[in-house]
Amino acid sequence: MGHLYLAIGIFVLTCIGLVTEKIHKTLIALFSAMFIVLCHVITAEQAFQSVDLTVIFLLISMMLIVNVLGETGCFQWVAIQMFHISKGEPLVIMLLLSGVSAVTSAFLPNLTTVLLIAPVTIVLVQYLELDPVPFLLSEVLSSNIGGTATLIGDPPNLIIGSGAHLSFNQFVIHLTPVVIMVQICFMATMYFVFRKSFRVSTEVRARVHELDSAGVIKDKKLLVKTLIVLGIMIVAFFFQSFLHLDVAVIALTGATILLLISKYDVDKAFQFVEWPTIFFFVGLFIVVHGLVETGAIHIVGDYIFKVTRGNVFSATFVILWFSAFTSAIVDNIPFVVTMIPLVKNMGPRMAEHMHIALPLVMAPLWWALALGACLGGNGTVIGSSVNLVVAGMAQKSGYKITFLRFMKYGFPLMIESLIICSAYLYIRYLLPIHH
Amino acid sequence: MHEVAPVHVWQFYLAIAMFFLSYVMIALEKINKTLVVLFGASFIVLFHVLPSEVALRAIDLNVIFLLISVMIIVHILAESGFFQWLAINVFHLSRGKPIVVMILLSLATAVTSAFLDNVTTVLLMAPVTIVLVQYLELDPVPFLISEIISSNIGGTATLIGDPPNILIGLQAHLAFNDFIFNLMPVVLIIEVCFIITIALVFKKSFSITQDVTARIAELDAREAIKDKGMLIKGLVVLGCVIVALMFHSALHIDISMVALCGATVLMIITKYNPEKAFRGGVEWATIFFFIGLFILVDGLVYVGAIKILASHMLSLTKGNMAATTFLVLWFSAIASAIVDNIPFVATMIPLIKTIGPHIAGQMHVPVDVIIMPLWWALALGACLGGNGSLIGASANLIVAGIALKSGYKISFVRFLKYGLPLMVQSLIICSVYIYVRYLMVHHY
Repeated sequence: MGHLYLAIGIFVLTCIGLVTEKIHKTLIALFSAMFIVLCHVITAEQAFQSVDLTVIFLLISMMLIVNVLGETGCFQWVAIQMFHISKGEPLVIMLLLSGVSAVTSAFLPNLTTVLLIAPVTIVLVQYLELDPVPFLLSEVLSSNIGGTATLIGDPPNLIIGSGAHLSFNQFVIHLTPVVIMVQICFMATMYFVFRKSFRVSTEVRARVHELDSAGVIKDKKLLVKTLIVLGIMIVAFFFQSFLHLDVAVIALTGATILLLISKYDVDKAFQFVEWPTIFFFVGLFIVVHGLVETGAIHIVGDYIFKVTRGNVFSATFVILWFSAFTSAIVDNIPFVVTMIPLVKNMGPRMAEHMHIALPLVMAPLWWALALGACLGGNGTVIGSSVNLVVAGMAQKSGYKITFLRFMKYGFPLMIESLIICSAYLYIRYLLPIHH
Repeated sequence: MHEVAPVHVWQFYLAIAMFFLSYVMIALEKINKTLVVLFGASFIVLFHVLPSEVALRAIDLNVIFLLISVMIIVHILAESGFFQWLAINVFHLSRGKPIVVMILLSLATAVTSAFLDNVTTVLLMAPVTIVLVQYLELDPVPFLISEIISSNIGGTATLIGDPPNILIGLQAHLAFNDFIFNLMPVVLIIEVCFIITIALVFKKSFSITQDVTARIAELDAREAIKDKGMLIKGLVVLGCVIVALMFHSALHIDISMVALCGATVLMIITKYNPEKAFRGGVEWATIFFFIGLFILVDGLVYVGAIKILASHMLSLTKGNMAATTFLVLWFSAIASAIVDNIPFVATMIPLIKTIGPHIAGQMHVPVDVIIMPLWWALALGACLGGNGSLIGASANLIVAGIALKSGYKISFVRFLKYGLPLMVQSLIICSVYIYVRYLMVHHY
């Protein structure tokens, strides 16, 4: 019991430390992680096992590749093309980037998507002499929304899919419609919020018009090599489950081959990886594992189920909202891992209690879990790995995405998306049961 | 170590082929060695010789985090000007007598290397040495060579002194104190013999003028310190980490956690920017070399190649304990003088883990009686073997690089002239030590 309180206490202190931002967040997370292990709340072995190496290596590899890609001038080229399409209109650029981000995230790991789009965004917006933070935020939020749509879009879906034996097509049939609605509403909201925020002076506009994409590519051979490697990797990501390969292995192989064939300086490439972000993850994984291991998450989950008294209606909404709020604070992967056995345990009991067929009860519960866990990531900056990565990238270019600034946009938009999801779940799954 | 899984013949040969290919490529030094092992590792995973999950689990995070933490602590210590301060004090102590300077610098390097990474130690000591020996208007090469050799000797003494020891200690579950009890005594003997040898060899080689001595007296050690607060904090944290490491098994905490905690606390209290520490302090290429290597060697273990190698070795020594121990010692030394000692040790660890219980079973004695001398023979051989040639350890190559930048060439042959006899000397001492301490008492 002492361990339980200790784990919760350390976690709360970590969150406070992150919000106040007096000490570098990486150091806070690492220190808390070490503290948990040194107090024997979890063993060092458990701590190491809780570090999700798939996420870590995917991140490192993608950063390596993106750094090489950045050297070629590719991002500048894409940015200039974007200007021509949008005619230099900031709002159009924002919506365009969000749309691309959402669609790509549905099929590629969110991290990959964002690591490719964010550099373009920063270049674009710096040309326009605007603050890139709103642009980056709308991309991140879109990426989390888009990732919800498919089985491969976001790790929680992958875990739910394999845990609940749901197929790729079932995710498309059940989640894609609501994700499209959420994304459209999101873009409409962004349009209204930022309609009058961006002002681009006529000089800047004139300058943007003169931009020529001809001389931007610095190293064409390197660009071709990088794009080929990246292309093969993306194809491999698609067939990942078929190839029986971990995404991290695919990405690391790609990065190694790219460094080999490009003769890029290895030490330099590694130096440009955002190590503080990587180690923030390492620390966070360990701290959250403390919560899982001591049963803190389990206790809360159990309590929630008691409150719903075995009613599938309230259970669905409670799972949706509870998952969202929890995922906004803790990493959604360990959360989903904890929730799956709980849902599996509750479903049959509810079906029996209410005299309904089991699949009718299970469907809304699983989709509520998936929607809540994925969309909850938008609630705070620590809600999903993508948020943190983008915050790290923004900081590197001199713009700070603070905990509160992220929350100002992310949290209301998360609520908006959850309201849409609630309506969807009610109409599509619960209303038929009612009748 | 996991059980050997059923594998196809082609998987068996692919794992071995990739391993040897990587070794050859590392030796040829045409391609960055980190990329070589990462490629080899990816290759065997892509071809399903090793499943993805097994490959990721093969990465020993204990070793990785310990390396990263030690690198960060040392980086902050170096930034504070500690090493320059140390070198200038050495000069004052020696009153400008070259042979005393050489001996004191060697001793300082040996002691520092025992607690810090060798590469870092020489990286910091070498530039200062060159500057100071130039003051004496002497050739810095003998000084540098004696520093390198001392650093390799000193690094052998503790678990954190040299990467091969880190590997052996963590993978064989040996404590920090085990290393001190078993290796420190012999390292002290070796270092003393080494100092006596160089004192005899260089006794009459150096002569300096009066005004050079006067100039040295004017150097102020305090000026070398760039940030006193950081220096004190760095030394305090390092001291605490070393004390905690000594008691880590009693405290039931992990070595890597102690070190990472030390590095984190040091960054917090010195307000050092973690971005700078991770970027400037940690040699990521080395870290990823380890990562690739873990996977590559695990491939060999997984397909059962190590088992086959072990049985060959056993049939060679006929399961005789003394023969096996000496074979491990001398073979490790010669191999490490030629190839990088990190991959060598990484390959030998599973081998010894297989051989040890086998011999113990044959002789009806506890496994520890057999396996401990083997671990120490491996550690001594692999670390001291680095002195055998210029390419024997990364510290050697780094010093050669620094010397070349200042216009002094440490050639392969010149290094060999000093290094090889001194390596043989140290190995003879080790053989006697191992025999007297471990083998004789058991009369096996």
